[in-house]
Amino acid sequence: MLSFRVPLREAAMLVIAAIILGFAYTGFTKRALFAPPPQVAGHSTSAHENASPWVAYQEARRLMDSRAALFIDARPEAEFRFGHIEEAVNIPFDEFESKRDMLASISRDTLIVTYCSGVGCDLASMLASRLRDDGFRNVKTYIGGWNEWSAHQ
Amino acid sequence: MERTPVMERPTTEADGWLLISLLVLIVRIALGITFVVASIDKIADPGAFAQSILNYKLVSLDVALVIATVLPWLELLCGLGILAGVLIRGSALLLFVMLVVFTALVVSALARGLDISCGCFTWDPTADRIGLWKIGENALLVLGSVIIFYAKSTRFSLEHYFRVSSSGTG
Repeated sequence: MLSFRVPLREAAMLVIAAIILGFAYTGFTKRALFAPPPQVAGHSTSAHENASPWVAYQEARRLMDSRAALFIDARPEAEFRFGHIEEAVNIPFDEFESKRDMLASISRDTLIVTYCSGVGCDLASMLASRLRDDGFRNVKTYIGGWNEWSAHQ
Repeated sequence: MERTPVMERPTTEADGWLLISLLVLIVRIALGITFVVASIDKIADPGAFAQSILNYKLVSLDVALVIATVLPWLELLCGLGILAGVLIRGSALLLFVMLVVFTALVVSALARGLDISCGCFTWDPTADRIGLWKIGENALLVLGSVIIFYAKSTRFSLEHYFRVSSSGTG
């Protein structure tokens, strides 16, 4: 009868090694689990129909097709120029202060959807947080970002 | 008239053993490359892979991120393990468990009518859509992992090399 003892011990070693490597890699590169979480505090979105600060692809597509939201690309200008969601405006998170004037004429109740590269990217959620701090009451983040959007085109 | 002696091949059993060893090696290479290739895209962008996991609508974002952090590395290590012949049976056992779980997830998603990307080889949502063929593909891979797990031959592996080396010198 084949013993499972040795394979189980080997499997346990592999799982532990994968956990260490995975967390070390994502921690070092500040991706996925270690990307800064979105900060929704400060402005409640509970008054809105959908209080979730996240938007999935289908919802983002619907909002774009119906022109129901202002899409803001939080990536650097170079990445924006390589491709972006149609109708989106580019306000790189790092240049938020200098480009804040672009939003001066926008109503604080406007539905805004921020995005960046994808789930592992934190620029969109950080920009969303800044926008909420600026008084925008209806800000969401499209988590799939440009990677997912462009793949659907 | 003197008859020319006929040379008989003396070791047919050894030939059979070599053939089995080669077949096991081929299965190991196929399965190992499959999992190494499957892991690369996910390791490169764990966030996007987390989105693929979220698409199955079974776990929260936090859980998806933890899975996306660890699973690609487990696939890579197991793939390299059976390729190089290190921790072969442990790797085969893990690959078997992962493949059974993946298959169950695909079946579950199909049963719920989800039209999503598998997330098996790439996080690209337009590639590798789930379907019945994916279950067949996984079944073949499961068979491969079972063959490797139960194979008595670990020839052409680092484990075999080190065992022979140590017994030769000891």
